[in-house]
Amino acid sequence: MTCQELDLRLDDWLDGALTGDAAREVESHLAGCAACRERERELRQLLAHAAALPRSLAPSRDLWPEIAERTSGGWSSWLVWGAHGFQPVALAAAAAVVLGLAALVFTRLAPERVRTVTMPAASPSATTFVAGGSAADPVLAQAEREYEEAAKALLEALQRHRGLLPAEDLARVESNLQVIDRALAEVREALVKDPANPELNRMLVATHRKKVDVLRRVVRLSTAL
Amino acid sequence: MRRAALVLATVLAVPGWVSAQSAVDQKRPAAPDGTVSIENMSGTIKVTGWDRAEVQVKGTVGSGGELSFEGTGKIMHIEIEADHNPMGIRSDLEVYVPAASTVEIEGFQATITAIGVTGSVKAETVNGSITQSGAAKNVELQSVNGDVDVTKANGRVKAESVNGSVVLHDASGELEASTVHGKLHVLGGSWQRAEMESVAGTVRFEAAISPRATVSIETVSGAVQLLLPAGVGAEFAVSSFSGHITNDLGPAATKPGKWTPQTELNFTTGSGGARVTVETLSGAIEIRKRP
Repeated sequence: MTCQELDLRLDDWLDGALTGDAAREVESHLAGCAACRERERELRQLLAHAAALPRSLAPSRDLWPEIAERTSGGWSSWLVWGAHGFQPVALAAAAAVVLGLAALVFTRLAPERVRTVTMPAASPSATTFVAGGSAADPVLAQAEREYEEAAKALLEALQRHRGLLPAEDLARVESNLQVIDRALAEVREALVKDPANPELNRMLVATHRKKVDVLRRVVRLSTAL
Repeated sequence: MRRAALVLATVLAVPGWVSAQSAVDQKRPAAPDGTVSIENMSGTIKVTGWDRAEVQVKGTVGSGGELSFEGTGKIMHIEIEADHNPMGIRSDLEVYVPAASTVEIEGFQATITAIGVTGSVKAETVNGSITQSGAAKNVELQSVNGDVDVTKANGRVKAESVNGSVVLHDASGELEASTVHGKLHVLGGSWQRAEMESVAGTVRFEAAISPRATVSIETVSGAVQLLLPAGVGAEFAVSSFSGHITNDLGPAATKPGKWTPQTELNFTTGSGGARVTVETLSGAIEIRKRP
């Protein structure tokens, strides 16, 4: 099998559509061709993007309405953000940038595989986007940065309200954040071994989302006192 | 003299709220399906659904706090108002509401219990458990440092805890539940949709599912135990990056490729219909027949 022939079959092989001798030919070629293995890795990554993003890059099901409400006039429980300089609008805008970038990436690289999903947007109109990523590529790396920025801002807000929370409660919250951070490290480690794995991609973003959710809840409740 | 000083010291050491708590007992007429919101930052809140068209508040209010009980008919609000940090004011409230009410409860250092409310129960606290029992149609419970326990809810259930566990007994309907490292157990009942997530806690789903149900479980390192009736008709998509998969309902897990350590399991039981998805990073997955 030549590299060109493999090109024609790689897609089907990755989809599991090849069996028997046809599959073995592809595997045999991949075993002996570094360039095609790299192409296979890239294609797996691309498929992982498409599979992962619609479910994973959407911010928390709770986060979006709050961002939207904030941008359209505010909600009293989010006053702490404004008072201390955090800008959910920027977060939403950054998310849109991420999604837009991802759409560009996928439209250019693999239009036949793009999945299109309509998501709630920070603006009144819905945004249609396509995207995906893993920590190894710029798209998911950008998404990770967005979640990390949000978590950092929430941690700072929590820090400012430390006096309102009993020390033991804070310790428990911090302990749980450490559990989440360890999980994030574990997922990242797995992604190094298998960067194209769609489940890992989803898991990474879902775990980031969990961290932001936990922080958001604690900050909101502590500032409600 | 030393004994008198000891007695005095003991008296002074008693927390202020103990000596200065005041009893309350108020009631107002209410719509049978109205909304009752309750805020008590510290102490206990016990809400009971009853068959009377009135709301009654009983209990004790701590020193520095005052009971505010406002509204009539469809919308009522109960709150312990404080003249200083409400965390230092412990109040214990028993609230009786028409069973079909929508009840919204907010605490901080508060333990929350809701019994026999068939409308909606929404409760949130930081440091305390939340326990709901009764056939509520809509349940939304969130605790940071406490356990969340749901019994016999029948509708939409959302239950989350950060540091505690989430356990559901004989509930039914549609579920969204999550923990960070506490256990998440769904025991009994029948579900049309169930979405369960935990970072590091064990997820156990031991319940019936409807013919076209969707069940999804995702953990990072938490183990997953899925116990379903032997005759269940469902399509299963199970995968773990490095955790072991045990399956009593169908074939063994396989590796999808040479270059990934991941194991996967895709199979169908009966005539399919329901869809069950389980994903973990390193958590072990067990799929068993329900005894």
